[in-house]
Amino acid sequence: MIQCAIKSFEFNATPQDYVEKGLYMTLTIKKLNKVYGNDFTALHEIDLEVNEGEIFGLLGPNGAGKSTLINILCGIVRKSSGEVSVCGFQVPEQHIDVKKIIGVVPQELCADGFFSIQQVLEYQSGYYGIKNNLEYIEYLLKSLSLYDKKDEIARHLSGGMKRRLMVAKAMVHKPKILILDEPTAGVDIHLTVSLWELVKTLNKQGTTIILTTHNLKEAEEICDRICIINKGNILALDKTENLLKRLGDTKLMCLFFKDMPTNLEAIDDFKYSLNKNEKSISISYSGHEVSKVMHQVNSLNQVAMDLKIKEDSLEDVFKHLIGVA
Amino acid sequence: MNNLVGFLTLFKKETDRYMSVAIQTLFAPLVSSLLYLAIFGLPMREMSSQIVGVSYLAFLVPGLMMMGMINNSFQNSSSSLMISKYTGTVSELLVLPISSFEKVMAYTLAAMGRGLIVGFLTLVTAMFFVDIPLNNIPLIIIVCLLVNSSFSLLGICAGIWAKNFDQMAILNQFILMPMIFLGGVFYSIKNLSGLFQKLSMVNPVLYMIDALRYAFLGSSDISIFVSMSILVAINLISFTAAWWIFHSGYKLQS
Ligand SMILES: Nc1ncnc2c1ncn2[C@@H]1O[C@H](COP(=O)(O)OP(=O)(O)OP(=O)(O)O)[C@@H](O)[C@H]1O
Ligand SMILES: [Mg+2]
Repeated sequence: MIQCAIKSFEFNATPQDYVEKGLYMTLTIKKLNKVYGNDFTALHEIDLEVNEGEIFGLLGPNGAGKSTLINILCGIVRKSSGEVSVCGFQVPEQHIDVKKIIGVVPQELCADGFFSIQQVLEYQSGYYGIKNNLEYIEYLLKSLSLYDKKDEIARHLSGGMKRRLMVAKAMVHKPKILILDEPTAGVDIHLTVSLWELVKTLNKQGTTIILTTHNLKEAEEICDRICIINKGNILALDKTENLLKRLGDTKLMCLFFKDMPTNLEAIDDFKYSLNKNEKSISISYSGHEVSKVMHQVNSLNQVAMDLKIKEDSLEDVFKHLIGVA
Repeated sequence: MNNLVGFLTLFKKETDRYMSVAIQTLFAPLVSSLLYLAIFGLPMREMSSQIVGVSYLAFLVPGLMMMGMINNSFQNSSSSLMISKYTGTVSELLVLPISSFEKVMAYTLAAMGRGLIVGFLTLVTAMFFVDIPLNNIPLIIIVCLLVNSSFSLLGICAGIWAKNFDQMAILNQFILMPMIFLGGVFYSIKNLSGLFQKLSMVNPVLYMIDALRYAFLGSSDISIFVSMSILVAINLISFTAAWWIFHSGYKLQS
């Protein structure tokens, strides 16, 4: 970890509870509504809280309202009604204080046409009141594999590089809350991994993370809590592991044999199905029955050639809730 | 100013922006001013003292300065905002912890800088060819500042209002350009017939050019107090409009 001397902010309107850490939720949203134009409801009576230091995932299909919610937090979209507060500061009344605390990577790709990456990041630091931030900028550029492009005009970068530049911009002032709206869209696999590493590092240092992604594996691995929304309504809001347990804790063991076993009564305690062509047996069992299922499989007295285990993934939960299963 | 460093950074960025394309933003306007000076000035040398008692060239220079300053201060803030709409960076303006007042000031001061540089370069270059009286230097500076600030502010309003470059071009070609040309850059309204003279009087640019002429030459068509009052009023109105645009999120927030 690189130690950097960064001038921290002096907030003008410091609510007492901001000093006495932990008295408020990092993000509190109550009965939030957003109506675009006169009649299109993008968010409907949203209630949610994000705790300090967690990685919070906001999932949902296209048009669910994820970006709308994020854009309300950072001032790009006006709320229609409801309460939103960030670290005790109200949106939009105390928007300047809110904006100092958050760093946001918007979903829309955008890049400056006049300045190099290095300059863009220096300006970005200045906007947040930081005068000399070269060391941290270098650290971010290296972490996001942009260092050798630092003198390139931002607009001339490839799509994935632009996205990474936007991530660097959002991080430049070491925000308390980092909001990432599909930060990995268009970023290659290798760099996606290092991007999430960086996010996890920042999280360990105390940054609260709010993210959206369409990659459910990513979300399952990284998020502490997940909120699934669809058509502006919250369908589920829970710890990731609880969400995964929702469909029951059943797993499927698939065994492939050279010769199909005949004494199938040995596994009668479990539900199973046969596939004679593949010479395979699929046995469903729940998590705590592992040793029992192993024991019974052994007594089939046939050599298993291969073994696959399928667990419920977030994708199944997601499909189940959205109703496309 | 709550976020002084933020404001200064935004000002610096806007300044660096036009400086990075200085050929286009500073020298091209200078060249076109000098061309006007050559085209209109040289053939009309003999007409000299017919206008407010000075040579036509000395009469022309404040007009050309004014044209360069109006065009460039307006151009700077409006095109900067148009370009950031086009590249998508305009929404970043909404996310920054910089107040509406600071944003307006940063954009305005940067655009004023460009207008003032163009005006100054036009004057200095013209002084090589023309003998121009510098009657009231403090007043010259004040008028230049006020003209540049008003059009920088109007440029902000236009840059946010215009949906696309077409609308911007319409504003430029059908409103701004006629206002400048009909505002007496090249002639004195005293030489116009009654009806055209009356029509000219509703053009605010007329008062600006006239105020600058007064500051340079010491005499003009309109009372300097009237011109200055109009300049101050335009500044107040356009500042309020620009501030309101950022404050309300007009056209930027949805
Ligand atoms: N500026 C706007 N004006 C009108 N309607 C809008 C606007 N922005 C978004 N919407 C509508 O609001 C709904 C939610 O959009 P939003 O961008 O929040 O979805 P999302 O969950 O981020 O989707 P995605 O996964 O595609 O990014 C969509 O139906 C969209 O058409
Ligand atoms: Mg979105």
